[in-house]
Amino acid sequence: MDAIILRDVSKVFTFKTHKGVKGFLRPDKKEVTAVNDISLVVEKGEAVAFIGPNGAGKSTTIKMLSGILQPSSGDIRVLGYQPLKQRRELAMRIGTVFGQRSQLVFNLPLTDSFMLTAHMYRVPETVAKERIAHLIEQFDLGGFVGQPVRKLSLGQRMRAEVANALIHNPDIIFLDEPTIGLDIVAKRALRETIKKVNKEQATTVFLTSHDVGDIEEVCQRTMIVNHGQIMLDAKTSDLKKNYLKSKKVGVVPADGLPESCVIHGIPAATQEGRLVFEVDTSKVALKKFLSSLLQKVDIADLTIEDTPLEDIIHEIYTKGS
Amino acid sequence: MTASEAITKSRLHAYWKVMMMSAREDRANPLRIAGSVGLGVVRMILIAAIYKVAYELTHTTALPYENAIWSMGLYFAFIVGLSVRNVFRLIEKDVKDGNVEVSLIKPLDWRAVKICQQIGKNLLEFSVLVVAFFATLAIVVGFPDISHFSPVFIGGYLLIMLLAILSASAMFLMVGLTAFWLNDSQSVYRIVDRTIMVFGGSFVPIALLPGAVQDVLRYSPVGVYGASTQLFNPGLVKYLIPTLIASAAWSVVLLFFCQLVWRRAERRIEVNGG
Repeated sequence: MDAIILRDVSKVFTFKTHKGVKGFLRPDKKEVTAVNDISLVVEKGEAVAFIGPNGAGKSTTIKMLSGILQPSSGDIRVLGYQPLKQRRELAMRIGTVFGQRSQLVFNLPLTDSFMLTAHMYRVPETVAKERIAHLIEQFDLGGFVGQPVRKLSLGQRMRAEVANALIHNPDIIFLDEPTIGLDIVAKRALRETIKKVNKEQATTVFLTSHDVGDIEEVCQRTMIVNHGQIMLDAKTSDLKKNYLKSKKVGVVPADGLPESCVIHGIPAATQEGRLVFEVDTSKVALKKFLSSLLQKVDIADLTIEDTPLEDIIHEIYTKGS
Repeated sequence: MTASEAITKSRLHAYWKVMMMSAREDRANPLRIAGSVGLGVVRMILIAAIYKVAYELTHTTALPYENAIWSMGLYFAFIVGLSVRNVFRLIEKDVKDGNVEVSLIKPLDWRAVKICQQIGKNLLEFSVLVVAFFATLAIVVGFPDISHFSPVFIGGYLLIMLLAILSASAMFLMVGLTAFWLNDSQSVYRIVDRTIMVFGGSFVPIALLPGAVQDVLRYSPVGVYGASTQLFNPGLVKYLIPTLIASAAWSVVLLFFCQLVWRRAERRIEVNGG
């Protein structure tokens, strides 16, 4: 079943080129196309990453999906609802987390925020209490659930924000940069719980992020947007497979670093006491390269690394522009 | 579905909970409330002293002195203490920091939530102010003449009070919504607030104004808002029904315009980010 359907959706913002009295006298307007003819389908239970550089159209899309913004053209259906026209009905079935905005009550304990959310979504009190207890356990919030929200660390607060968005058991959760500003430990914990919610409760996850870790660990599918258009829509695992054309081979020579070293026309760079070769596997087979390397260098240590997904995504962005 | 489940499922219950949660948040700040009530009581005593002098100099008989002071007490408790007008600040804040986006994805009406939050925020202060003012005034100026009180008058007055909250909310929601165009709605607020203060009886009770001015003001939006503080004005008995009708009519008109402004404002929601 389809959870989200977008058909030929565009969003154009109009701005006055002059402000104040000048703007009144010369009402010239400028149009900016934030989303340009996007079509996509997300199935129920999928975890989708919607990524792109700043100004690519991610937030505009997520806000059209949740019913905040009206598309200039095209058709949007989320769980069968028209988001703008049926915003409140849709709100009962979606959860949202905006990384830079809190939905919790700052001066009251977390439990009060959770109860308020439950009341807002008209969850019966007994059901709400059970659900909150479950989420406290699932998101490991027990240690600070009685503290006022303002006293929580960013990591604790973000976990609480996601838990808060799940109190009414939504079918879809929209996450807009949920790990922004978190440390590695907090990021990992949050990703794990989102993944768990997606797997165990079949909650559809629609995530935007600049952090490749979020995408790799949480999402099965990745859509890359730039200039308001979808540049790529692929399985996250296929991204590396299809776009990975080079490997980094690092070598620590047993008899010290040579002045220069070239193998199959690939010169080595010296990095942190080792030689590093950027091997384009479409030109030289890795096996062939390694056998030549073993013949030429007495190896004390060897590492082979994939190109980071971040670099792959960057390459896709650059190609698009 | 059981009765309690049905209540939980109702939207009204959700708004009530929003209001109560806001009241709870404010309860965490007892010092602020104590300070505000203390200042209010001092101000009330000063006003009582000034009015005493004014009454002696002008030999006013239009409204008994005690009733005028108790009306002022009600004004300060209701208009200043409950402070429905400050809903504009909550709206303006949401518009300025972009939180309006988050609020719109809730299953409750954003504007109604803000009104509930504003009332809830000051509910405790309002209750304490009413008790403190009336206790102080009973000691300092004595009790007012309440011979005009009757069940119909009290019922009608309470309805006027409710309608005043409704029309004031609509009026100040509109003020807050101007932030979508002006970014800062403070200037609009000042104009509206000062107009209400001047024509609503906060400086001089309406009963003390010339008859013709009273007639015009009584049925204006400002007048019906001010009528909510006229519990101790025996003159209100005569105008109870027309004031009630005017209050209801202005509430409808202001809510209609508020909806109109909101529809225009909604189109101005842009995106923070890409």
